Amino acid sequence: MTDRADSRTGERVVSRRRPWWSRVARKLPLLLWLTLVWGLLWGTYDAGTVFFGVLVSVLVMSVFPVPSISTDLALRPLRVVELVAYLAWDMASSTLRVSWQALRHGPRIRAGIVEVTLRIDSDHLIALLANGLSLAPGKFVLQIDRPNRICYVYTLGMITDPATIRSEVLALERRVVRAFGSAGERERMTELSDTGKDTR
Amino acid sequence: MTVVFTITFTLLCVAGLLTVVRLLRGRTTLDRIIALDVFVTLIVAATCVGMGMQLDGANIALAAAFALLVFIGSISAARLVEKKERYR
Amino acid sequence: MTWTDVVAAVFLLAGSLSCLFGAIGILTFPDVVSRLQAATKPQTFGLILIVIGAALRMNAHSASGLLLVVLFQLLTAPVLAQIVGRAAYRADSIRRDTLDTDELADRLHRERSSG
Repeated sequence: MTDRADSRTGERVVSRRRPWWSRVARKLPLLLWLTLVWGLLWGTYDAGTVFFGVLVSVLVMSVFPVPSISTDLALRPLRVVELVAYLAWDMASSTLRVSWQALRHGPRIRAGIVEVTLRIDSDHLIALLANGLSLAPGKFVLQIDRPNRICYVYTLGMITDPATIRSEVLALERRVVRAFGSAGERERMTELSDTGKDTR
Repeated sequence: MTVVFTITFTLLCVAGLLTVVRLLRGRTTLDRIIALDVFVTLIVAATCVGMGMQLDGANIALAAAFALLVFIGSISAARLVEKKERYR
Repeated sequence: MTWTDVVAAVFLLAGSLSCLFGAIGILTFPDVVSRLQAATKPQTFGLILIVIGAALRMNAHSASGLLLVVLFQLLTAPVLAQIVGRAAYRADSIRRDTLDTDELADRLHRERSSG
């Protein structure tokens, strides 16, 4: 997105029109995704379904065009599997916790809103982190202060020490960066952790 | 297996009843939006249970469309509430 | 009953129980934001378990569509939670007396008093 490097070279990139094959290539992932959904809906991937899937996808993409965004996300499959497993476990354990809280405390439940300063500085990574956090019961991101990289996390249950919530959020952040972060983001992360800025 | 499906449907029905109570008592519009969203999710869940029972996937498109429609509805309603708050 | 039936039964029962507990939370929790916690997440988890349970009993052809239902639910639930939660905070439908700490209010207060 608007990384520092991008904004410096931005003008040159915009004024030069991309060759046709590059523009088509950038639309390919969306086309594949729409065709995949079409196939899932019909439950088969035979030639006819795929053909009409591509046809419908092209139609949808030309009627509802979306701007193509450039992203610097990297993908490490093994770490992604690790992240998914962690989220699944998190979801199961916290569903049990929230169910117990509903039965045990009910109307007398306590909660808190905690401020966390993130180390990552990429729109997509922050969005991924916020979605991952909001997936598990008991926590969700209430507000994000993007310029200062601060997110406000609502947590259900007694908050004795905001620092524990903060370290939980930062632990998920580390997992997200490991799975999807570009090399630059990962470097930033270790730098900030080494200088001890991640405590707050 | 019939017993399992009966229990599952009963639990989902009780859950649906509880959400309808919240829907009627409400207090705020946002409460009602949440309750309606959950109610539709329960319907989708029940549709899936039904498909598992009859071993027939004909209703899958229905369930998927329902899940997406309720999302769009809830989001628009919530945004509307937020906007109204700002101009008050 | 075969072994897949037994596993499917466990998933179906666990899923519907999760949905039920979520509904209990919606009824008993004190304000919009805490009800939101009970509403969106145990429901999503319950739906996933139910879909797995149902898919175990069906052939791959029908089960692929069930994957789509789970995918939509996983993509949409956090977005809904965030938007409704923010609207609730702005509309003051959050009960301040249930909060142990509120660092967002602290900050808004600081900004108001300094600017």
